[in-house]
Amino acid sequence: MAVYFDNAATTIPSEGAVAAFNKGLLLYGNPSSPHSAGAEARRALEAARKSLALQVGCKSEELYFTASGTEANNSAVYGLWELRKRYGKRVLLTDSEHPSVKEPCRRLEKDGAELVYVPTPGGKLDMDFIKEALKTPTALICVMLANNETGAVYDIKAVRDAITKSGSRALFHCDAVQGFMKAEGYKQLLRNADTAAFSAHKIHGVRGIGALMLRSNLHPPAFILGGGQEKGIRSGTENLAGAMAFAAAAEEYGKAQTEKVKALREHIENRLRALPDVDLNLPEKHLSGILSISLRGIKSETALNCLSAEGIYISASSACSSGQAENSVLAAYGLDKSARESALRIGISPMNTVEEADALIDALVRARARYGRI
Amino acid sequence: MNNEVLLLKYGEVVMKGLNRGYFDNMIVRRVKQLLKDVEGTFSLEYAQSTLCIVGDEYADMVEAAEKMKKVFGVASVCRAYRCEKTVESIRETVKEHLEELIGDAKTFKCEGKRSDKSFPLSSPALSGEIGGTVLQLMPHLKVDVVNPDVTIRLEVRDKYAAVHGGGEKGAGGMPNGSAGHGLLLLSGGIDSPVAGYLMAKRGLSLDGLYFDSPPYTGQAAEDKVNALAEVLAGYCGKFYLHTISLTEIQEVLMRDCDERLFTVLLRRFMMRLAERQAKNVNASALITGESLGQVASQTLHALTVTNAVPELPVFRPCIAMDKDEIVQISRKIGSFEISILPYEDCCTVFVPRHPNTRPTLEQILEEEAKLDINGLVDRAMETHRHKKILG
Repeated sequence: MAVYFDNAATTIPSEGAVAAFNKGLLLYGNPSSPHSAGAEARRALEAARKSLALQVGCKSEELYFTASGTEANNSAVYGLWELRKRYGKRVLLTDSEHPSVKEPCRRLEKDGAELVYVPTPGGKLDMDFIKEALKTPTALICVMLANNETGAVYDIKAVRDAITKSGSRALFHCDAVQGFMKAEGYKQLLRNADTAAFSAHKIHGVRGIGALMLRSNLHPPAFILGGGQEKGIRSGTENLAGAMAFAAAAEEYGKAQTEKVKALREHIENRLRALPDVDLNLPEKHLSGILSISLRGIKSETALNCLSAEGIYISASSACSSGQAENSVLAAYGLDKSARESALRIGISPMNTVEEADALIDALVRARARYGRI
Repeated sequence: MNNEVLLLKYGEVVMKGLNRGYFDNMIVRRVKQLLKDVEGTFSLEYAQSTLCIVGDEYADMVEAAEKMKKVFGVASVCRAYRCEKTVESIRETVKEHLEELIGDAKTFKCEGKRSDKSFPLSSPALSGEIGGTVLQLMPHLKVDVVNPDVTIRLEVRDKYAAVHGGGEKGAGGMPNGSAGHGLLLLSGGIDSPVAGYLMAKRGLSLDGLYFDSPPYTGQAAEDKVNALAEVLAGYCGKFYLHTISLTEIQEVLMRDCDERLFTVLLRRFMMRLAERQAKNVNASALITGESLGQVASQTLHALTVTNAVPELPVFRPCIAMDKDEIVQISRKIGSFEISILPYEDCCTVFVPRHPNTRPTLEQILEEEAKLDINGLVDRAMETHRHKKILG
């Protein structure tokens, strides 16, 4: 039986999500059709939206389904830029944003945007930097809720306060793909954002569905044009089954799940602390479900291959030495080269057990003893 | 009526003498193999150093032409319209396909080529005759015999005539397998697939040998090599990819030998293993992607020391190429994008910080005296496994 600890990459769909998905597949009507089959599908879609909005902490008319978290991030970045680019050319984003935010921002440079990267050493926002940067007219600021590699939870409220205090008209986008349902107090935190992006498959939903939260006072231009679905923000026949699975997964992910992940993480941390030459890369505030470590002496890829051979799956935060893709997020966090080369990411989910956690740590110990060089 | 055909004009093999048939057969065999996967039914007619591929009404001639561009031994591939050997028939064929032949060209010429000397018009006369018809139908065109936008070629062959707008370059070289069988040392890099392609082009059929090093290398690296092997198989047909693990050898070298000589010592082990494997698959040559001076193990000194191991000839077609020349070929054959995927391979697992670029055979033999070479090679050979890659 496989031991899956790569839950920051994707999660195993929950039974509830799969059941909801199957149910949605059979609601065959097109939600835009006026007949009864269409109406039934429409009702199911709106029920899913309402349920999910409750979990996000927004009004249901502020939530739009997309095909992925990446799409939601892209739409938000492009859309907000269009709304504010006449006000200022500056775009602020952290140096550890996910590529689905970073890359569309880089595209904006062609439209005259000036990108300014906010440092996040040790997984903490440099607030002084942000305050200083906001003195220049800024169109857009992008700060993720939680980082996908280190699990660092960024202080979204402080960002909003800084914007308000500076009198800037900047719009604020928050990539909440990793933090949704998992970061402590995420609902209150998300209230500070103008837009936010979500993805179902990080919370035991299914792939192919995401969501964009967009405040109702904002009317950015759409980038996917067509039949005008999702109030014109995102055309394309709705992925009803995906939306239903997304809502079901979010409903299932409650306090009990969070507590379980927390307890498992504590167990893993304690066991790791007892080992020599293991760095826990712990941001001050972090998600319980993402644990970044540096297992000194063994390259990430070797450790990963050893574990994979035993049916244990985790992820290497850093690309290998032969690769050109040096990990910029861990460098931004402040890890030195050898720590980056031996960095591993353990993604914990409520489906994991203590026995699995022990199997993981034992396998890591064995791998380093056999193949490591200190 | 579907009178479209493919004309494959043979390259260097036409220079062959009495053994010509041996080479021709190999081309035909490869052509048949590739056409199996193309929609339609095809028949082949061979005459005058040209293989004419005739398809039925369902035949996908576009895909067939693409595939034929990968057949070694073929100098050019041309999509042509075949017709009877009369002036009228040629004229009608040109008329029928005129728009397609001319495209948006503004100038043209007709170029007749009469290999059947019994045909009533000479080549220039035929060109003039048909050129006149073209001008009548498309008065906006101008004739330019020196540098035309389009050349309409009119071939009067022994059995039929053919009209076309010129061929595309074929893969060239010699038919697959006509020069014998070689074993390619295939890593995940840019150079070795290019080396394999170049030798296959000169008529070698190939087997590939990949060295892995589990757990330092993983499934992702192996998948990458498989993908590279598939690219090569597209040119040389089916292909066996052998894998041998170097883990123990690398660990022993790291532990017992001078770190600065690690890479060269390892290369010598690769040669030993490759030669054993070559004998197992009846390969008469080894092929590597080495390029002089590219890295520490490819200096003249290092190559001399590595080369002292095998008895079989080692072909290194990239030896005199610059990296950008190798990359260019790699892009052309479609292996580049795969080669640059970032995974550990056995050569990047243990990299000495200061490799010795001027090793001598004496130094190396001294280091190797510390090792149980035969035991290490035997045990590595036991890890051998293989896989058939279809092209």
